Amino acid sequence: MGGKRRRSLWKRIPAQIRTPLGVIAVTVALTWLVVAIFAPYLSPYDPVSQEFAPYLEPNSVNFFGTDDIGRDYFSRVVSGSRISISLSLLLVFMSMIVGSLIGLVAGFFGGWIDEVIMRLTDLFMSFPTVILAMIVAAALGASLFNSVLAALVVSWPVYARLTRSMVLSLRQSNFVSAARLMGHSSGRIMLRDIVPNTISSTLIMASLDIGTATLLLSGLSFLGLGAKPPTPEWGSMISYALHSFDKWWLGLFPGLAIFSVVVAFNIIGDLLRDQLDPEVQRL
Amino acid sequence: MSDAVADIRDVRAGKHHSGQDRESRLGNGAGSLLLSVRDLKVVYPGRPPVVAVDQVSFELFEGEVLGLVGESGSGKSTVAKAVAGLLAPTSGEIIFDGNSMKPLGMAKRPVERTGIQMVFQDPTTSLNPRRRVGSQISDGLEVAAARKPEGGNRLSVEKWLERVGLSASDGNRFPRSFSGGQRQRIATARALATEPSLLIADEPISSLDASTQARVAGIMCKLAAEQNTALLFISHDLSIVRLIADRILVMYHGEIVESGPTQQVWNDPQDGYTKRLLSSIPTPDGLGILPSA
Ligand SMILES: Nc1ncnc2c1ncn2[C@@H]1O[C@H](COP(=O)(O)OP(=O)(O)OP(=O)(O)O)[C@@H](O)[C@H]1O
Ligand SMILES: [Mg+2]
Repeated sequence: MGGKRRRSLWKRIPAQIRTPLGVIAVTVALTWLVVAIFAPYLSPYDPVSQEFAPYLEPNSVNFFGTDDIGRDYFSRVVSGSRISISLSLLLVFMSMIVGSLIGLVAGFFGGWIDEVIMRLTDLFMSFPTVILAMIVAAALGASLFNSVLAALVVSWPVYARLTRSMVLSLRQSNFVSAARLMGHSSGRIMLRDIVPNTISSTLIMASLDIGTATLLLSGLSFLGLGAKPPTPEWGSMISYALHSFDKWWLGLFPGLAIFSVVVAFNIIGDLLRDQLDPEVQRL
Repeated sequence: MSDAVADIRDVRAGKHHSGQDRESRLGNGAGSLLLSVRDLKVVYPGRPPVVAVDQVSFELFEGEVLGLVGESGSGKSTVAKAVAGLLAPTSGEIIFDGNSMKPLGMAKRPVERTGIQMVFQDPTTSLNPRRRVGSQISDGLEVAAARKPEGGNRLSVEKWLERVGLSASDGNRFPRSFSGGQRQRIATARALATEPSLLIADEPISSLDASTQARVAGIMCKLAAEQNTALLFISHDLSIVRLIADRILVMYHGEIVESGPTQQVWNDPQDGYTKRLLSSIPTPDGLGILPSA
């Protein structure tokens, strides 16, 4: 009974993920999620207190060494996962909500509303992402939350486009016509006939986006537009490591952390991309 | 397959009473005109614009089964959508139940105008894939309750499923687990559960195999007759339409080229195109499918 149940769960995972590469990527991603959730329990020392001698090389007490003011670097990298990953998830979630709502309105109501929204979307997408995010972050002032807002400004248009294209075709579908003939309101049609049919593709798109979000947010912090010391955040840790370039571990470990999160989520996203409709894949 | 044909014949035999009722009511001058389409013209914008339907006029009476036949591209679906209000006519008038029919926009259709329902050509999108079929049928019941609150005892979702030949427990399933024919029957149940006065069936069966076609057409016709719902039945297959329709309209290139009682169109066609349609049916009693002329 239990075995059968496990097998059917396994079968429910998209076939693309059930490959060696997919399994590795999912394992890495899940590990990071677990680390992020349990960071306070997994970090052996306080990530912001100066308990050790500065610049200790990795050793059996300080697995990743210590930094310029004697903080345990392993604890900082582990705690950093919580900030980097939760902010990425927050960013993806917010982009998804904002973008999908905008795309829903554009696709469903069409006409000039659609025109205006789509021109705006094109405008946002025509800027180089990082530069636009930098400008916004600089304008808002450096803080973690502002860096998320700045990243949001550049991340929503993808969801708007995706949702709009799905809504355009759903709107024409026969079950929507049937709902109109039954006298359902536009709101009810959106809620029951349109949105439920866009969710799975949107979620796939979101999983595709987590790696990019991590990179963008740590990039902003690296540039000094996000987290500020002493907050353990990977991007700002790398940026700080530049001051003492000969201390290799200071750049390496947060770098590997960013690298593994970004690559794992990008692989998952790429594998899932095949699940999307052909029309959506082009976006 | 011959069983299915026999089924339809039974239905027709049963329907004759209501047909006579209608004639007698007409004779009495009772107002049983349900739908009147006058000089309908639909032009699809584009370069060049496509005149899909032109000078189409016809009438439909309560409880009547009107067949609309014509080859692919002759404008049948366009007429259906215009009548249902799913597209705005370029010119002409559609009067349903004494009121001029307004095309559907973003505003919701008032409940007293929900007496026109439609079953669509393509079974793959006729049902919402994310909702259980039972709850989609109950949408129909909800409309009936809102439009005719005094309507007495209504059938349950389970009974509707049984009426279209499915089992009561199928209501918990999602559309993807049903075949095309089953989906069209579910869509029919949903439409008829609203107790419409007019059901437009736009080639609901053309994508199905011949015996399933006859079965679905038979069920649809029987159920419509039971609640005195008029049926505008669209098909390119004259041999099936002939089995269920009281009257037949023949469309060609966007215009109606022939109309009349089924027997008259079948036995004594006036128009050259209708004659060609008839001569391309292999045997007079068979369920031959027309080559696209
Ligand atoms: N949305 C549209 N835009 C432009 N032209 C259209 C559109 N829909 C239909 N047409 C054209 O209008 C004409 C009539 O189309 P319609 O769909 O009404 O035919 P039909 O009789 O239902 O055909 P079929 O049996 O293949 O369903 C065709 O020439 C078709 O190409
Ligand atoms: Mg058609």
